[in-house]
Amino acid sequence: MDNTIAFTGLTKSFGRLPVLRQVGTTIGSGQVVGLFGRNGAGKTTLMRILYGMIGPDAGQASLLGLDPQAHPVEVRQRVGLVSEECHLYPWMDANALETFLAPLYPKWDRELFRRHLASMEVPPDRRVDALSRGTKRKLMLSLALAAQPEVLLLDEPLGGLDAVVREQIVTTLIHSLTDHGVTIFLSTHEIEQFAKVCDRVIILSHGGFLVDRETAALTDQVRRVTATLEHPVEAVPAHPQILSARAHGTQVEFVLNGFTQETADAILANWKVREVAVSGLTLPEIFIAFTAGKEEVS
Amino acid sequence: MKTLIMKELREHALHLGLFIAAGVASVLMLAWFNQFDHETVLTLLFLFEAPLFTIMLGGHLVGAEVRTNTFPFLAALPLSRSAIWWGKAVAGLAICLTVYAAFAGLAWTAGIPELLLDFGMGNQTGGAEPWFQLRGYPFLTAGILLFGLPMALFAAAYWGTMLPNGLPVLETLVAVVALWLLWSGQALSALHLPLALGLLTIVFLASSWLTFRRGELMTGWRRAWWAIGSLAVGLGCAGLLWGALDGLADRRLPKGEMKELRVTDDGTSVLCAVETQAEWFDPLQGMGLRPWSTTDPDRTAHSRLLRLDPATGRFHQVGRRGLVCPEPSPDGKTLAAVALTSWPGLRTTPRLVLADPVTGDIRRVIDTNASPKGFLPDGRLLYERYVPGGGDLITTELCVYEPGSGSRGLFAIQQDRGGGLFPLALTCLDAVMVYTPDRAEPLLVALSTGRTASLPLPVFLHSPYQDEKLAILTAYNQPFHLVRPGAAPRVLTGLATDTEFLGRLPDGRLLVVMNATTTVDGFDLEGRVLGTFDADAGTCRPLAAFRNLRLNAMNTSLSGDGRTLLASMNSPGPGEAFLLDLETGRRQTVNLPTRSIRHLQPAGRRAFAVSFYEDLWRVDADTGAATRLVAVPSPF
Repeated sequence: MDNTIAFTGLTKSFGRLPVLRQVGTTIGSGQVVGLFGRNGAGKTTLMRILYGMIGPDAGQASLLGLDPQAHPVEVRQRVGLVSEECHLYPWMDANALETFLAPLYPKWDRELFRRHLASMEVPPDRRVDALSRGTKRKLMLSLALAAQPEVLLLDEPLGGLDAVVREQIVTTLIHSLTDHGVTIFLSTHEIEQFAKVCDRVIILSHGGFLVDRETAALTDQVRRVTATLEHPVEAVPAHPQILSARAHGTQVEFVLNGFTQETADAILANWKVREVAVSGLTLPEIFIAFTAGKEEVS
Repeated sequence: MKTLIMKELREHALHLGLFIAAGVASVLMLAWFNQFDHETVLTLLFLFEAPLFTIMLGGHLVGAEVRTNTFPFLAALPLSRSAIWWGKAVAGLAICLTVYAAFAGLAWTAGIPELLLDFGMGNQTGGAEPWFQLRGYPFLTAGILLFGLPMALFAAAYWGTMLPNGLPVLETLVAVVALWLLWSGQALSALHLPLALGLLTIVFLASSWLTFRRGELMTGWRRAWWAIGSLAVGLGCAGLLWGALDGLADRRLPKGEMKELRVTDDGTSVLCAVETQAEWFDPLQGMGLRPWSTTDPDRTAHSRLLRLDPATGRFHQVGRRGLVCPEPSPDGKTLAAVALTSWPGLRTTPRLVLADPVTGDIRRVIDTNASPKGFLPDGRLLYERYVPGGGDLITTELCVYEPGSGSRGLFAIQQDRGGGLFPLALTCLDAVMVYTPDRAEPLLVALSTGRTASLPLPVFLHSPYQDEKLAILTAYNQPFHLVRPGAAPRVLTGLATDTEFLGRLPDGRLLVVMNATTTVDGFDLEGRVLGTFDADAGTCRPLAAFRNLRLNAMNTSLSGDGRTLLASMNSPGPGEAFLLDLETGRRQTVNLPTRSIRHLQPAGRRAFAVSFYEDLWRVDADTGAATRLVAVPSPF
């Protein structure tokens, strides 16, 4: 699998505030990778660096084999970006935007743009400032898709969208794009919505990657252990693989990263256990387990 | 980039329409209030509204995108930063051009005659001045008004739009400085505007380009540092470049027209005032679009002062360009002049200075708004000072500067629009003769006391000859008047008006060239001969020793020691000059160029300076050798 997106050692600070610290990974063609993090974790900054809008303090990035800092135009002609930070010109309508943008993209498809507008119910002749927030987002998505990108960077793509369109985008659109080999790197707080389409999950916290794993492996390796004890306990002892833990009377519960039965047994050996149950976690639960109690600074 | 330009044009179409509507409205208002004269209309449109629109537009191009949060969208498009910067700049300039064209059309349709709409770019029918010259902006030219000024204002505003919104003080400061430069005639005329505006435009554009490239999403404070820092560095470099260009232009001598020649009494120093046309500085003039320029610190031309090095026979510029009205002291060791400019080519109030005649280094500033009228034989300097008195009234004061004791005023008069006193120093009386418009005869002002007395003489006399014993005064085609200490002025009725006074002979007699009848081959012929002047009788007598020497149609000069006469034909024919030893009668031929002599004068005791229209020669009184000192080719 080729490395459609690759970055290594990316570091970025705004003034004295570090936002990214030495992050790096590779993403292959056709993959859908979710970038999750709390507010201020650095997701948007990472997206902007990958798109060449801002430069890193250190490290290198590559999209489709091109350095976005050195070749921003070539990268952007082949990579689409939908970001909540990008505001469309309020005085333009969809037709004017297409007139403005079409000459900039060599693979711009007018029919495709019309189809997306129709399917997402975006009026082509209404000024942007007269559109709802969700409709603006749909218009932005239509514009990005009309350029037929090989890579799509989505920064909070579902913000302001209703449930129907969310479902439409997540199930239909993303599957359709990946079928055509489009690589998608998305950052979102809508973890549950995207859980079913993400091949990989990256959790970003305090400027570093806490998790960078295949979704299936992640859900397989992070398990919740619930035990009923003979005697009540005050707390769960610290262990490097425990992400979160709770003790209430004779009930203890902890989430184990890199779950193995041996590890769970070793932790439970501290008490006289009456009953044990091991269960899986949803992706949002895994995210919370990894990031709860770790405030981001923005 | 084309699609970006089209987007900008569409985005600002409304602003364009509003501004043209504002132009129409202002013209209609002028008509409504009966102020519809062409000067007011054109001033309002081209000196106020169009520059204001230029500033507003330049400041809107990037700033509006940042304010409305559309800049990240623009920055995310497959356009390089340079393409965005250029696209916005080109679109902005195109819109400005449209405004200027629309305003010109508006003025024309509003009834401004085409002649008065002429910005000076074309032929000046009937010698008509462009309206902005009539309006009192002599520092403006068409190129500055229609190109230099809008470009500089646009560049400054475009640079200002790179700053964060939190810097209104800085933006206001830039706007105030821009408006002050626009409206302050004194500030503008102090600079060489085409050069200054060109450098400012380049610096602002370069700084904004650098800031735009480095500004990422144009939200951080780092862009402010880039903008201000790069502007400071750019202005510093521009200043150095200004100085270098000015210095380079300053040394482009001596191409120009010789205006004035001065030879010190001891003959060791020859000073030459040269005017160079201003095409070096003025691109419009260089392109032939403007026959003259009023935007230089030296105004219409660059005045230079050259000094001949007697050792090498080469001319060197004395001081910087802009040292004018030279008056060498009798001993040749001091130079009085008016300094128009200061480094680096910036115009200051004209200063009367004493300078080193070799280097031009200013030793002392004597006065401001003053011009030298000549040194007296004892080293005192006579000069006029001009003091504005409100309105068109200007006080002209005659002053004398004495080394060691400073300046003092002798006589003053207040006149409408000023005017000179036409002072004529009379050494023999230790006084100065001046003229005032309210008197039919000149006034005599004592140099020592400042006391005045009327002189029973006609006005506007000049002195063809004077020394410490007497002064001969006359006006064109008028009889001579003799002035001597202790005696009333006397009209020399017995003296022909074409008598030439050459100087004193070693025996004290005054040598003249006079009309006399001489006998040649038995025929009595009227001709010009050498003679001597008897001051007591007021008559001249031919010199018997040279009664056969006819000097008809010749320029003549007596050497400083009174022993040798140089005479030359004043005609385009072959060289007819000769030296005559007045003691021995020996005659020696001198070869001079075959051109008309402009001026002939003694240079020290044993030499002559002969100036033609384009060069200067030195003739040695002993050997008769003629040497060309300098060639001053005409710029035309």
